[in-house]
Amino acid sequence: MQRFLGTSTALAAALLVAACGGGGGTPDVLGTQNNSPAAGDLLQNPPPRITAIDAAYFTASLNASTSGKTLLALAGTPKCDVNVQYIQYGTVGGAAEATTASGVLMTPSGSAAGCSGARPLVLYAHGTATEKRYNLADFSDKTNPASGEASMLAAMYAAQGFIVVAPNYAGFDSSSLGYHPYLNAAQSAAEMQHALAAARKALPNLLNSVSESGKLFLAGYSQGGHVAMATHKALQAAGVSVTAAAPMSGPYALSAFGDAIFYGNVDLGSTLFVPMMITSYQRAYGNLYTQLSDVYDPAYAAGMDAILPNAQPYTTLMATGKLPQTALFNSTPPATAFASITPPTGTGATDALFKLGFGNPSLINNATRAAYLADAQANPDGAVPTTTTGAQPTSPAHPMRVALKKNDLRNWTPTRPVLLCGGSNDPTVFFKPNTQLMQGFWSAPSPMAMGSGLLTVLDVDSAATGSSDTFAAVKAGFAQAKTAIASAAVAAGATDSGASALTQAYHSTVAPFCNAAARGFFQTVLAAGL
Amino acid sequence: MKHLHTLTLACAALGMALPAAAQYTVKVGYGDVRPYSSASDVSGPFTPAGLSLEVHNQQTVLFSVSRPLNARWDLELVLGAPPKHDVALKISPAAVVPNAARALDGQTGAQVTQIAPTLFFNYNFADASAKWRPFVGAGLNYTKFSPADSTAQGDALNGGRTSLSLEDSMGLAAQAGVSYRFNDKWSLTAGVATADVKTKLTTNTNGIIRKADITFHPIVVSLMVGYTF
Repeated sequence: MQRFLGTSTALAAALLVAACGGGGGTPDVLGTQNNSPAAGDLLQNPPPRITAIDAAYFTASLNASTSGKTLLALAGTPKCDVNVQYIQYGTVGGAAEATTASGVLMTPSGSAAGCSGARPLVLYAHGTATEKRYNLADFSDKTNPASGEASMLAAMYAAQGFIVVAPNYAGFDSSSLGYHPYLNAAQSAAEMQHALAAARKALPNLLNSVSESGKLFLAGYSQGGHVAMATHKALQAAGVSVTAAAPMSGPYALSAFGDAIFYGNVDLGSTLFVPMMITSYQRAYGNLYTQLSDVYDPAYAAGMDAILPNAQPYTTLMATGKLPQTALFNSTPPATAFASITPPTGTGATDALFKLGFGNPSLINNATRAAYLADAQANPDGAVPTTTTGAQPTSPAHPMRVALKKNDLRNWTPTRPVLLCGGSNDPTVFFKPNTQLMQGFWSAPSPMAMGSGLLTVLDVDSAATGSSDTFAAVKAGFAQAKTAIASAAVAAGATDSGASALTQAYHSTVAPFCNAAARGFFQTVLAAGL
Repeated sequence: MKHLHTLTLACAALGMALPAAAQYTVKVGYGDVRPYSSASDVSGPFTPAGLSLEVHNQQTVLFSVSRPLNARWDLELVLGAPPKHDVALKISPAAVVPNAARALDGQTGAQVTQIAPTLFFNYNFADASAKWRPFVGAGLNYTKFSPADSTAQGDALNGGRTSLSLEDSMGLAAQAGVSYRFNDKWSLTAGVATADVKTKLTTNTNGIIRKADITFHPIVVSLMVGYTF
């Protein structure tokens, strides 16, 4: 009896002790997880869905803000629910080093027509970002610097039935790369393809699974315009079918654009773009400088290779003196010969803009500007400072100009429809040495001309050509937006009729209008069965 | 580790040899478990504020085995057939979430099974021979939450298939009740028990790790038939 009791109590004790073991607290890993994915593979498959925005809610939230209302008017009432997935994938850096990056995969769903089944896909490249935490997938944080562009993508494309794949780019968000390969055509084209390949692996595993119709569209704004065009070039070279492309307000002809800047036509934002570009090309080619003070003024040189992207917004970096606001070049000419372009004058309305690009101290030292200009004069670009051939420089020697030529896109011809969109008065990415130059390069009598009817060029800052102008509404809308910006500035006390406010806002204001035009362009191509 | 030590000693105490007159009472009956959970907001990447949860009530079969230590004190181990509780999603009116997510408010987002062995030292206000024997007890509760599974609604709110894990809990417990003695062998006991239970919930949704702290002030009402031998 006692032995039985002893056994049963011992059993109870054993049960209790067994139950005492194990602390709990680590949930299982579901799906496939690979922390060192190969290029084009997902870190996490299926990727997590950050949010599922039903069409009614999206419409209501757009209506709740002024910018939202503008976007709603341009993009139209959301038709489809939008699922936002966060993808992380293997890719490469600017020196072909293996790395990881992140991005967004937006998929439409819902019962409205054109929201399910086989959908067309837009592979989108975003504009210059300076904050490391930039993440197009972070719909839970409206303060994320990517928030505006992400809303635009959701409203313009995903809510109207397109799948959207958009990388954040290597060097941003959770990417393991310690810098950003800015305006590196080879790297950005490779990364876009890796993001697309990774997203395609996710499609069948999503909560609302969706499939592709086989129609692939490329689009991108500003830096993203360069990325989109470089991607189109790479895909075409690889024999991959691209349905149509819409690069927008991009620095396509980098040699021409770079030369224009060094000749004193300093663009707005140059003190952000130039250090990112120098760092990118130094990482890729290794020969832009031996030490930072070779190219940068001592006031800014220290740490300039690691300052962007930054945890802080660029406004803080400028306020704390880590970056100049606008002074790219020194107000003392590097040589008397260059006095007349330090700054250039007689350019009309842009005189004031270019003057801002000069100061003391400046970001770039005079030795660099002088050496660059010497090479630009000895081995000139075919479009800057004067139009000769319109082509890239034949044999640049200065390492910065060599690098720019490597990434200049005047060296191929698309065989599918392309819409080049921009604003002719863009102070940030000049229209003339980029969009207009590519237009000339791809039009007869250029030997690199595109096939008839394949190229469409849209300047949203121009008057409608008549009642048959497909882009009349976009142009009218942009004109209205410009007036609104100027009026708001004057109402807030501006005495220059709002000109300065308009200059500051111009480049970002063009963006949604060009995207609306791009979507219309894509839908036309789809309808025509091209 | 300290807790484990204490519990092992208590377990050993239960099996301690006693004079031949020692009696064991085995009880089985009905338990109504009300967790009265209080959870923090769920936190983690990409997680808006205002999302929480609530653990719902459940009923189960309770068991206990007790042994007197002397005329008034006894040692009792209480266990239940592990009840499976529904965990409801709570979406605060202030939470900024799309309509599709808000529609999940109040729905069952997970189901969690708990096993909660509790050891009591009870003081009885009358001797073992009395017809009515009220008692109060204090002791130690150990709760293990397993298995813990997400539902389709939980997956929908989290944005993918979700795995859950909850930390074990160790805390003080207390009870009060009364036994009615039919005869030497049979009795009926009604009691109310509570314990200090808390846990940390961790979820993993395709790599997104989210956490919430959950505190319980549970009330377990029981009615058990006892057999003494």
